[in-house]
Amino acid sequence: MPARTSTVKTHLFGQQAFHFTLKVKNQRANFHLSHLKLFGGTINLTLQEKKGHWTAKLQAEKINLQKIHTFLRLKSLESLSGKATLSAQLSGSKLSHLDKAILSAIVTELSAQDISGNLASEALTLHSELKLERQGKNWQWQTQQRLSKGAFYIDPIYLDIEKAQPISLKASGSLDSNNKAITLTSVSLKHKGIAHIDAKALIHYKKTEPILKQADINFYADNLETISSLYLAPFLEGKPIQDLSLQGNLSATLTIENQALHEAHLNFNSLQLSSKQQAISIEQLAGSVYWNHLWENKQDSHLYWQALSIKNIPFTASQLDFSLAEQQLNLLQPAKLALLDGILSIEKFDFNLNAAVESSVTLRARLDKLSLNELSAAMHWENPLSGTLSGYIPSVNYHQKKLTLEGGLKMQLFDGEIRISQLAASGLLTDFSQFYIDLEFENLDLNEVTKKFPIGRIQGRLSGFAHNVYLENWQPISFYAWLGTPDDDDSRHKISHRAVRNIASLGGSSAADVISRGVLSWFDDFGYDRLGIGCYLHQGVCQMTGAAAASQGYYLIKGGGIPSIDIIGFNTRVNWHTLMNRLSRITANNMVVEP
Amino acid sequence: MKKASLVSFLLLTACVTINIYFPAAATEKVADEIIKGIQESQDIPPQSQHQNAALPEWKVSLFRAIDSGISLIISSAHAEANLSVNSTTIRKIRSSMKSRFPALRTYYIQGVIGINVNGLLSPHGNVPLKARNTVKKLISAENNDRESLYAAIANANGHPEWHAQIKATFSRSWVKHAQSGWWYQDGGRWVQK
Repeated sequence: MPARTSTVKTHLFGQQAFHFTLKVKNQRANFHLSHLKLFGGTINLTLQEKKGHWTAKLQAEKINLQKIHTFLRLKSLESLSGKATLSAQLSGSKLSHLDKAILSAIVTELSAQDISGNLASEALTLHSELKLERQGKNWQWQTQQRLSKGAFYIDPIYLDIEKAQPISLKASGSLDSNNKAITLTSVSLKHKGIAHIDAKALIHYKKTEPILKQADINFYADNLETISSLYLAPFLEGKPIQDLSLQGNLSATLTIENQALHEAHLNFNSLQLSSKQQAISIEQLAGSVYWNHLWENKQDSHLYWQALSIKNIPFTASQLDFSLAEQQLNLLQPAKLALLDGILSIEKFDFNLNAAVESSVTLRARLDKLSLNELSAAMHWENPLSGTLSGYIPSVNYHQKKLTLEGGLKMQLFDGEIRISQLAASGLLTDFSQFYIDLEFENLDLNEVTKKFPIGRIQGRLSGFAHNVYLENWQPISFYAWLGTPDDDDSRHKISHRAVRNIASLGGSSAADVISRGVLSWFDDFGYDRLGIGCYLHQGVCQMTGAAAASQGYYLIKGGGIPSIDIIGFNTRVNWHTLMNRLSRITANNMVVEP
Repeated sequence: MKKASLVSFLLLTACVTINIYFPAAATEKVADEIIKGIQESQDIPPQSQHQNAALPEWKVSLFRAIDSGISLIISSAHAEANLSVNSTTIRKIRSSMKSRFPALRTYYIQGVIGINVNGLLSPHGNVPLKARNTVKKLISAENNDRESLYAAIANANGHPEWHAQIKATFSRSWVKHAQSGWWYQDGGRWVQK
């Protein structure tokens, strides 16, 4: 039959003109249809049949996906647009049996979005190919997919393909329809120049939801910097370490059984890790980390770093050896970490991340002669301290997200001692940290103290305490503190003119003027018997006390010797911020505050 | 004896009912203060200050006397409670919202988020794919904080049942404090301020 041009008018497709031929001769049938205009594109179809064997070739060019979307009214898609060129080659031995299929598609300018907004693309270019072949009762298949242009969003990951190199997937496997199983004999997913994944897997689809029965996955990260920004950062968004960045390379092997991770092994070299937000950085981190879902299958893991900095405190090169299995981490042997010219010895560390109950931490550590001068430099303190910090922490307790340290620390400074105890903290990595501490001050040399803090020279000794100190975002909220001359102090008690004026001005009184103008202005130093200041901070107000009770207030300085001076505070309730402002102005300006 | 028993009985059965009404005006003031604090760049004071701490004693005494006098005049039958917002939980949520605000402001200005009819945030218009994850997480975290804040204020004042009224009051205040160009819902319709 010669080629004919026909015109058909249907309700769905409107008026269509196309060419077709049909030949039936010697048990052979040929049907050819061409120039069918559908969905904005052109469709050609060829069908051949000979003694029960048939082949079909379909070519569809420049199909407008938006028109398909309008026609099909897909409820799961909010929008769909783009152009597609499709080809299909199908063949079978019987009319009702498909034996082989080769399908390919090139989709350009693919922009789509699902109803939830969690899947979306912009101007994607996708090359797709699928080959299927029946072998007995099973199907063998191979597929190749390649994204070479555009951008897509799969919640929470956004990728701009043009900027971030093409992504390709090659996979092959078989489909056992009797056992309802898909075997992935080889899967290779590559993000060019960034990472690639090789995997094997077995999937069961006996139930409605497919089950990943078994998978072996090898992951190679060639460029961790790009991986962390493209793949890791979206998951960390809104978390305390959302700015975490990684550099270097890493390889990992994962084993999954029945949809659960059973084993993981990570190897890395020359890894750089940093978070400016949390002031954490690690340089040249190398390691081998092994995890198993059963504790009895645990293997040793090791971490080694050239330099580590936590909250600007530098640690020199060290190594940690540990076991990691189930939800537990155990230190295998004591670790000695060098920092601030001293040593932090971690004698025992176990961490159990048990989400069902509560995470628990076991830590026994010793601090040996950490330099306070080095600490001051690391913390950028304006008045660097000299002395050392030592201590023993027999255990820590983690309860309701609050970390409590047993034992205590001792600071040897100002020729005396400051003891730290009842240390606890929560939310240290968040934007609302809470900190608890008790301090005991013993026999500090005031001459040394006033050299560091320019309140004015004072000679004598200072003891006291700050109990139940509670800080929010490092701002004091409540405490009970007293600092003053120790009862048995027999040292020389002298206070400079400037120190008297500054202490007087702390009360906001006009005493400073009196001292400046009167007879007292003739003296550089005064003698004193006792000095002291106390504060019970509650609800933003300091309930003040001093060295001793006075008739209508309290002695900040009780005079003694010649010439002597008394400073009495009358304001028993002082706004904490007002007090801090006065103190900071004194120490910042190194001058007397005008009342 | 009988008279005495009768008087005792009357005294025992005489019950004074004190109805604590929802402090609408105080809540509005608190909402304004909190939202201003979140949207301004200054740090939140760690806790509310006792302003009288720095006042001279005579002024404190005078204010206390006035306060006592007012307390006597106000009938206990329709007292309106004050609203306390001084608890660790509230400070924690405010701190979290304050640190989130600079990121939110960018998307308020771009018009991809807006204040919905419940005073919570919703995506507005077509959020660019690149920003979608950030916007989604910001909205989720902010809305969680807003709900937690209303519950915390209600709980801090011993009236968990005030939650809905506090939320409604804040809802109006969020719109009131929205800056020019931001989007909000008015009766379900998006409007640009």
